[in-house]
Amino acid sequence: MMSTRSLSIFSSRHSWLSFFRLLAFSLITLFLGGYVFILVVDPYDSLPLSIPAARVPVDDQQRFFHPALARKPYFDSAIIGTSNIRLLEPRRLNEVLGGSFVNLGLDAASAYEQSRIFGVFARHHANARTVIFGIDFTWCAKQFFVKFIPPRSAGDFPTWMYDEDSYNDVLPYNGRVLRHAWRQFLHLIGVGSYQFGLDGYTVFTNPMDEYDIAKARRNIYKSEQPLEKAPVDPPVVVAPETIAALEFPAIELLSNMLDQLSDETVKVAFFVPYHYYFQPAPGSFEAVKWNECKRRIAETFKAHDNARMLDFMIHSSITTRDENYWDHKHYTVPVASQLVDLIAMGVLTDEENASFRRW
Amino acid sequence: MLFNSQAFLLLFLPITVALYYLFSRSPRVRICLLICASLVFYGYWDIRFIPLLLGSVVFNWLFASLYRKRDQRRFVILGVALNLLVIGIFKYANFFAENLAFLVDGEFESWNIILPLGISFFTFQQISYLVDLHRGVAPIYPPSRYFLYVTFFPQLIAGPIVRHNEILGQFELDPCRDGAHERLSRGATLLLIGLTKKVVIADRLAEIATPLFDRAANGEILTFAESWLAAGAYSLQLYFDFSGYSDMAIGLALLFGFALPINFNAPYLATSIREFWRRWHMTLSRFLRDYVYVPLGGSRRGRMREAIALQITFLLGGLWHGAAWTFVLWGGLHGIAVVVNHLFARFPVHLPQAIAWLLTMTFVVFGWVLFRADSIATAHAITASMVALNGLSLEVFDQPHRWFVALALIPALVGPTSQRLAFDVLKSRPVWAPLIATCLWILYLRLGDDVYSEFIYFQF
Repeated sequence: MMSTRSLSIFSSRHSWLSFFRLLAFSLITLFLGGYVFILVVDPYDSLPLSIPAARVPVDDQQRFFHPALARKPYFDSAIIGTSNIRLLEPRRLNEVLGGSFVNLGLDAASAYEQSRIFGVFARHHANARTVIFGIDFTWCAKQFFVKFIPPRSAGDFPTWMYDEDSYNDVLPYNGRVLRHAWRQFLHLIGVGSYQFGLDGYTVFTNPMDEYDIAKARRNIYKSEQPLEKAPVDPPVVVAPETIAALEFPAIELLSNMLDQLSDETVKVAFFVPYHYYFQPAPGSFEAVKWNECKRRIAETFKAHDNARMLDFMIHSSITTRDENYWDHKHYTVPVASQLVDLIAMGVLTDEENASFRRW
Repeated sequence: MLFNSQAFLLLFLPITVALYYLFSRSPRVRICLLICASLVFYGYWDIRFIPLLLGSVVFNWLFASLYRKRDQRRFVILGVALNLLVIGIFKYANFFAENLAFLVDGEFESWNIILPLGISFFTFQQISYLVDLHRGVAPIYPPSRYFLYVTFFPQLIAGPIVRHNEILGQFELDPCRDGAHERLSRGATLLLIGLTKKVVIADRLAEIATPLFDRAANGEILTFAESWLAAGAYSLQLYFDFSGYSDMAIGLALLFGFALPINFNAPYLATSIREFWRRWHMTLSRFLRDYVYVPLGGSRRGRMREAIALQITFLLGGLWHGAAWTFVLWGGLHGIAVVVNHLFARFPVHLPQAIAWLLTMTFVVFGWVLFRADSIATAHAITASMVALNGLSLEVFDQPHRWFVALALIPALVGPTSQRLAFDVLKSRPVWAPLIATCLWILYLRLGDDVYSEFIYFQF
């Protein structure tokens, strides 16, 4: 054991005093300086007393940058969802549907997280023109409140950024916030340039010239070769009372979200086009469950004015073509462009198309 | 509250240290302050733990006082028994009941008992005090001093296991006495070293070891290379995790002007199992030696008795770590190894140092597999792969950072130790101060990215 008395014997009192003073000064300067820097730069455009300047998303961490976008008054339409809708380009949606769209997709977001970003948009756009809800099976999960955060997103869901109290936004002090502040600072002084769209749109997939069908098939089938999704034969027979007893708690949340929109707002339920191999086998209990969930979601939308339900989560020329996908959930940029046109067709006309089903 | 959390580093610690020095002239106030801070620190995890801690301290002190007043041995026996009963209920009840049910072919559904943090540490600490009281080598301390001795937050959760006579006297010393700035500076340095070990090294090693152990636990057969990677990564993770915690505890205590005993001294340089236990978790080894091995006869009653004493000591040491057969078996194997080591030490021929080191480390690493595995079956599966019973494949799947294990070997084997860094290498040259501050700041920022994880030894 190191004796406390012996410590002082070996060293000069004065030099340790200077050392300690310098240590304390450095600690205070760094800790305080770093925090003041964050407050001044305001990386997420959310602080009450920061320098007024045009800030941009400086990273692809949507949970941190999208709340500010959702508040921007120059958007009047939004797309809400997970990574499944992030490739829907607002600029193209503006062209085909009109209005000014912002893409508020959050990677791997739970229904709860989607409801929070929607809440920000809805509070700031009482008379929104169009809102597209990218419906995937997070809405059919039993635990909709579970905040599933992918490991790479490095951080919990920043709930403090999703309320209207900007004073509680000054709390976090960590490497990520400081890194973002530094990038924002570079942007503000005109040095840094960032590729993350001001309308929330970022192509997060690799360039198409790097597309590798063999890799895509491995992602889809866990195999080099395409596999068949055999229907269950004979199909399972599920009693109506069993179906009625199925629980989809997130749908109530969805209903509350729709209630926040005005009657004039066009509300689009866009059931995302999962690759058919990821969809449940026809005739299976899972298929019955998914179908029931879709039905109830459609019912929820139908209870509101100006609602359209376009189901792309079907067996179609889009979902059966491997070349359309990077993996079982994520389609390519050309498919996203095609989807925008199909959504417009589904919203603006009564035309039918084999790629989607109306509910 | 974790040492490696922002709340601790930016709020709890600076406020506690500042108030402590503000009231440094009043022993009563500063001791009360430290007790309150320790209770906040402990209660931060789960407020329900507080009554147990308070009850344990009060009862032990009362038994000690009764023993001193009436000079009746039964108070010490009762006190020790009560401590063992408490730890038995909270830590071992499920284990014993489950095994009993197994023996009588009965069914057993686990009781929902929450294990209070640090119970093994503060219970054993108080047992040692009662025993020392009975031996006549411990006085009755004033209740506030005794309270602080047990609850003092730097050592409360995972040690080092401090003896009363090592620290209680220090409570009376003015923290502003000569050398205060040096103690504060070296304390901060040790805190930084411990944080670095935990955040930069141990947690990254965990990213390698955990998936591999999980795969083995799920019935997957690891390749030869994967099994060694798992064992090696975990051996280093455990060392950096626990020694990092100990460094932080010692550094934190130093900030308040107290010196705690060191807990690790380059254990992976040991060339025998006996030496390993003199370098690894030194305060536990010392506790087991003084309060189990020696009372069992130690080396004074012949070789057979010594072997039995050693075996019992290590079995209990294993069980102390956790209520599972893997720990008992691990302790038992180390007991056998130490007995064999004792026998070999009597021969005039000695192995070359390099071979002795290699043999020792091979045994230790195999032992850690048992220590880490969730069951004996998993441990068996991994060790089978390590001895090439499942082939000699050098393939490793999904481990892009495997090289980090080799990198982590350098500080573990080449050193210098934390003590040497903080007490010998660190001089009062001004250049070090901003460097230490910057590293602390960077680690603090990193902790804010939600990367912190609990220390392994918290579960014990």
